[in-house]
Amino acid sequence: MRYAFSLIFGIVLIGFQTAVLSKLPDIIPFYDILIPFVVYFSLFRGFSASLSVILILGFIMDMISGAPNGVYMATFMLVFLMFHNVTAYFHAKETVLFTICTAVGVVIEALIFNFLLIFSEMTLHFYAKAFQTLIVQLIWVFLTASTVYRLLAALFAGVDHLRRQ
Amino acid sequence: MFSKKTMIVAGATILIALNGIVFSIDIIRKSSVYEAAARAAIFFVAPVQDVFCTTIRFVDDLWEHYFFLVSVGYENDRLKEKLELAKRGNHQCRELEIANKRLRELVRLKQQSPYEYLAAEVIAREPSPWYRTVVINKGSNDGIRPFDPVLTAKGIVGHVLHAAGEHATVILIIDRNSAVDAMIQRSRARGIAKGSDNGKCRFDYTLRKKDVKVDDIVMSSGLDRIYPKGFRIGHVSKVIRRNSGLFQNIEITPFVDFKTLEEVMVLLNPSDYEIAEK
Repeated sequence: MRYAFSLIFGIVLIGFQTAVLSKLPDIIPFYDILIPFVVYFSLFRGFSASLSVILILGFIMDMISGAPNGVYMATFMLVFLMFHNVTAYFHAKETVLFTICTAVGVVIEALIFNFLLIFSEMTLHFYAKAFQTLIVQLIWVFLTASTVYRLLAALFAGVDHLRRQ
Repeated sequence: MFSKKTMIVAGATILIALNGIVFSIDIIRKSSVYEAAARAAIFFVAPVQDVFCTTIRFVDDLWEHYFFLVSVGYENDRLKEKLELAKRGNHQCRELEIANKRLRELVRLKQQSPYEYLAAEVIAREPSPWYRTVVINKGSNDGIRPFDPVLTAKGIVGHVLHAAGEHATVILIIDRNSAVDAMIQRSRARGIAKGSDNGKCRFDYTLRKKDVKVDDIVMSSGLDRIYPKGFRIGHVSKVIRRNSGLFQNIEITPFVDFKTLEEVMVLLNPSDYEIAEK
């Protein structure tokens, strides 16, 4: 049930991102809302079930996006594996840890996408715009990450409670 | 034999390497397995996008009506209600007029052109800021196929990337991966209109000696076998001719306003028209 709920919730997030958040003006681009979802699973949920959910959602994003095939799947998996054991090395309040990990995840995603663009076009002329987009996205992360964490924590706590009953 | 950590690291490395191989093999985009996977992904996600789109429109309408109703005063209730009703009606008429004008342009395009078109609505956009695609609410069940051109009365929008049963993904001409074989209408100078990062297009591979001026119209040449000849793309907004180099640096501003794109027309069976022209 948890697995199915995670998948469905992930698909709803994808729909929300493409149909609602995409309406924001280009000058204030929002970060990929699946990154905090991946970070949450990486930090606070079990490994094997979470990994398969992340891979499936990455696959779906690859199929509906114009990005090269496999880039979302690779990005989500990298972010997931990077933060999986981070709590063994860094001790901080959950919201702080979640916010920092989300910010790092957004930077990683931006680096991967921009590396691919540089690699495919062999040019750096969009470098300034990419940096500006990343800064705005990081501002959004620091403004919204703690709220997103509380939402996800409450949601999955409810699912766990239902499952125990 | 191997620890769990080693297995995980090895598995992750193999998966990332496989992804790297997939990046570089372009041919997989043309395989039927890839197309089937893309259709399946759109099949699951597009209904959710539809729901969000409808909800936004409903909330927008509700907010407009509530705003007008909240301002009704105590003494002039009846007159203010009448006034608000008239304002709402006027607003609805204006909205209908704007939608009517948009749809008339599409119909005029349809009537003036010998091609077969299918009208569709844009329901969602690309999830990342680095690429430019949209999802429309028509798919293969309506006759849409990959590589079908998509346009409005103002000009070319892009072409179909994937087509599921009821929805399709369209890559816009302002996407970095998009390329349209084009030419300048006035001087017939040839080039490739490629998407750029600022919401406009670059006109690449136009020789320095070719006559290109600001405000020249750029249209499709038909040589890429995707877009028929003569469809408008945009106008030249900047021309830079350096002293060295083979080509000019030309910027194109598309005629289509992609930020407010709501309805599009998909050109069905474009290859049939090419055969007919020949």
